[in-house]
Amino acid sequence: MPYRVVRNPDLCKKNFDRPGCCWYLCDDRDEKICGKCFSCYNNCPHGVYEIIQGDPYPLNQEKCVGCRICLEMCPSRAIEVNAIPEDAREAWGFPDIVEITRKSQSASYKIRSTGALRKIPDFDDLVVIPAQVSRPPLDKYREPCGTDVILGDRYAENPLKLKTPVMIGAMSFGALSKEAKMALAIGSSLAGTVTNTGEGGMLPEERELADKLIAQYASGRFGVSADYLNKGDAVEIKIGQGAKSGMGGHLLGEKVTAEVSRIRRIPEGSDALSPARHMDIVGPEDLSMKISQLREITDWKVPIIVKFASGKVASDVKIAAKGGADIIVVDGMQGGTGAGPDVIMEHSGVPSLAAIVEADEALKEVKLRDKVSLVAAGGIRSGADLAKALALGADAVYIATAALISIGCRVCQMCYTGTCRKGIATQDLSLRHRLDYKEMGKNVANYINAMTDEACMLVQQAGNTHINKLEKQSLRALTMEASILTGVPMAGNGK
Amino acid sequence: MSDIKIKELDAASLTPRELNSQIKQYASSYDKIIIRNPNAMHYLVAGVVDETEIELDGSVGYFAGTMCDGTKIKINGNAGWFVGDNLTDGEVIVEGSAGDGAGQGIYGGTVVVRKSVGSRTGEIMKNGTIIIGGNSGFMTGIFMMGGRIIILGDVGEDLAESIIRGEIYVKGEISSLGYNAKIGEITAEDKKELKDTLSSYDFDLDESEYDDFKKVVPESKRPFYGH
Amino acid sequence: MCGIAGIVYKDKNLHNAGYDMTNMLHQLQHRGPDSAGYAIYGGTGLKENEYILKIQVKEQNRLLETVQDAINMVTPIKKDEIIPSVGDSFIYKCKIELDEFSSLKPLISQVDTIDDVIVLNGSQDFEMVKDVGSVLEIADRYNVRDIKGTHAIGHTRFSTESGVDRYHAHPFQTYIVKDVSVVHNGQITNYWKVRDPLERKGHIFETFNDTECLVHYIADKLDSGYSLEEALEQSVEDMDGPFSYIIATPKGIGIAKDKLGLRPGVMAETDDIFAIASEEVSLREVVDTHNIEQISPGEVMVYEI
Repeated sequence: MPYRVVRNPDLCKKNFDRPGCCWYLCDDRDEKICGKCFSCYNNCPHGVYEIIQGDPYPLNQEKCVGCRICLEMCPSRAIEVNAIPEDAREAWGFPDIVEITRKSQSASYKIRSTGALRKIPDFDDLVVIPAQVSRPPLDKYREPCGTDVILGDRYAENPLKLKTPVMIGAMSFGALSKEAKMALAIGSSLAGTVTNTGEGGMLPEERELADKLIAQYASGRFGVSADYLNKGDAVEIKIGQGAKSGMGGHLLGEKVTAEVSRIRRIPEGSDALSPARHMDIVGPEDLSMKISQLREITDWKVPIIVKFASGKVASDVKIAAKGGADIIVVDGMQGGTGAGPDVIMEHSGVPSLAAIVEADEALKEVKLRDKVSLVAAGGIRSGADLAKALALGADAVYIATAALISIGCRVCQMCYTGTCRKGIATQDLSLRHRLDYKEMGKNVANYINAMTDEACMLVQQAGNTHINKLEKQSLRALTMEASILTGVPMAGNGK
Repeated sequence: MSDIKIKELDAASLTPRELNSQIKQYASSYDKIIIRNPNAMHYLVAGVVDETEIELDGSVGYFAGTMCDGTKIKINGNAGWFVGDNLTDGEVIVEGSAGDGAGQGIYGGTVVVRKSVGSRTGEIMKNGTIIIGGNSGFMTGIFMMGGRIIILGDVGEDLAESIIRGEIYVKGEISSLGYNAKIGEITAEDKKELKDTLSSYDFDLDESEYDDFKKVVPESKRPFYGH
Repeated sequence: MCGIAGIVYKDKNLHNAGYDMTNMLHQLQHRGPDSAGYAIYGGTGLKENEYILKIQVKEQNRLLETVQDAINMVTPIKKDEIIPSVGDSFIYKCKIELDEFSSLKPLISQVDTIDDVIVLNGSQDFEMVKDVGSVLEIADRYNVRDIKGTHAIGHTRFSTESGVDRYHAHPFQTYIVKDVSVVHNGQITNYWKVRDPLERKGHIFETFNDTECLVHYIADKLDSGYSLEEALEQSVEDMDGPFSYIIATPKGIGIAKDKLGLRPGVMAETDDIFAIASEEVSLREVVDTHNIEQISPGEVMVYEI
């Protein structure tokens, strides 16, 4: 909403002499009308553009979310999208008025993708303090920094051995295209890490391309069988996800193509409903029994992961740890989703940085910190976020939205419509063709490698030799909020 | 018949982990495994994917026969909650009664309980068949996405809550229907299919009794958005 | 949280309730590894004005004498013993006389004011045993298998949101009505809304455990003239969240289950006993029958002798 979209009509007409004018192939490709380009109109996920007298105009500016897909896909670079300052009318700002109007016309709450978008305390509110002479910094260019991690060696015969603590989080086939799943699988293998099936069953190509793959076990139980679980390198029981804690899922029938229905083992075109909770996990002893049940099926071979949305973190983490989990994931409120109510994303949950600290403390309290691995998720974007998450107590992190951005996502927040312009969150073949999964697979690996490297720099300049050795005591907070949430002292206030 | 290879295991002396790993080990080389003293243990016969016959000589606990595929399991006693959970093929037959969630999330095969069961029978099932010889409780068939449930006794409230595919046949009384459930037309073909299925599991009903069945189906296939 | 069990011997005579309940709870150990507890009714042999107190006392110089002095100031200790336990405290058990049941709670509150001392229970008609650890450890520690009774309830605890210690182990009891105790599997998600009006009526809450809230709620209803069955029925309306719980009184036991039926419960009856538990595996310790009945969502059931 706080964006100003400008289309320069002169630049727009610059390249009209070639058929199939758009870089991304106009969705209505018709050589007769290719004298005019409608890439911006066709590719805007939010209906900002309208055709007026044969030319596209950014008429519905209030619908713009700043994804800049139009700009990226304009063959003539004729578009600018500029952020403009927020309307300073406090409680009754323009966005509030637009939203009330929308509700009064549609009588429905707002559905969108991604996660919490408003300002909440996050990793940027912390800094890593550099070592000087009280302890020496290490030389990034000459001295090594370890990044390998082993997760889930509590009971599992075959724990996850990763080259970097950056793992790819759960996103289902069905929500994502096959090409997107394949790109993530390739990227995870190249980076020496693990990816996750999500709750939509296991795509054979994904299994083939991923060196390590976590089989997710969610409330809808789509595509679940003994074979499915035993093909995974770990099994993740998804209790909740940060973006929509305590909500079920709903994959619209439109996205349930023949292939999706085969993998999920549900009828083609049928909506795929996930209940808000596992029908058989209602209390702590149920979770403990579920862990045992899945272990019996997988013969105690692979780690059992329990993933929580961050709410009553300490209680939940203690229960999972006592119930026998090998790995626990806490997904903060910045975690993303393909579809969920805006009100839940923005107003339910606990910020990631607070959840990590609470989970770490809870594991220490039940004396299982050295047995159970802790994974942090929700809003991790960079090596700095990674280093800080590990310093706060995590053993590894999940990236998901960030991984999608590395393969072209522009966070337009419309995954659920199934018309993703980048071929990521769609089952439409013509859109899927836009995604070169081999190239994008390399991008995923490049991104993970670069962020791991970034984290190493921070770790080494704090005087540590391994990414998992950075301590919470090497952090300082820049805001009171972050300091109180994490127990990290304010900058300039440490010992 | 003398060349049938039978293996007997005594559950009393084994942990579920040991027992399950032995069942998997013997399932590929024996035609039948008999498990003595199951003593209502949980997770018995978990994830077996061989077409073996497995007989449990007594009651079993939660998640009996979970995620089996093609195995024929017979339980000569009662079962706890979630018997036959996530079955993909084969059968689980309970001679006694069972707890809540019988046949939860099955994709194929048949789950039979001769006596009554608790609540939420066949929740989130996608396909396959569940037969209950007695009554079934509250929210039977909740979130059903396919397959068939047959109940010879009565069912509790909110039958077929949020069903989107599949059908439920009830011979006895229905307390109430859940959201998106309706009573559908039962055809001669349906009755014939019922008869074939039921008689193959030794439920012998008089011809006239098939007229008692009511068929419950989803009202809409898209009940939530877009209709 | 947890596994629950109850047993009633129909002939009203004393039976090996401690022995049977230990076996039943042992089978529910996997539902709750943190702590376990019993309330065994009918076998204490106490007179109308006699009570048993069980008090957790920290191992500390002269602390026990302080406790004894505090009690003796109110009423002379008739008989006592020390039961060793785990951690840095032991259990002091003593017999006292009180003219009025209503004097019991003030006495307990008085003793509770001493630092590092917690009164675990005060009762006349039932023996309460609860502690951290496994069922078999606790049974050995307190010789539970030797305790006789006409009926009993028991619990294995998997803690959810409150602490793991002896005091938070179930059963919980109330001092509003004599000898009422409860064991519970599940959560009460409108805890504060139930607790607040009870507190305003004078109920004193010692913990933040939702089970404690349940026992106060039931006692309050019994005190206002409800029958046990009516109180249980009303609780199904008023309590939110997944639960099944067993309440015990000197007359028998009752069970209630939430309306969505989210927590398990099965029961069985023979000519001699009525038994109830979270799982069949527990019933099979005391009942040799395949005739097991499921407790339905929203169902309440009272078995009095």
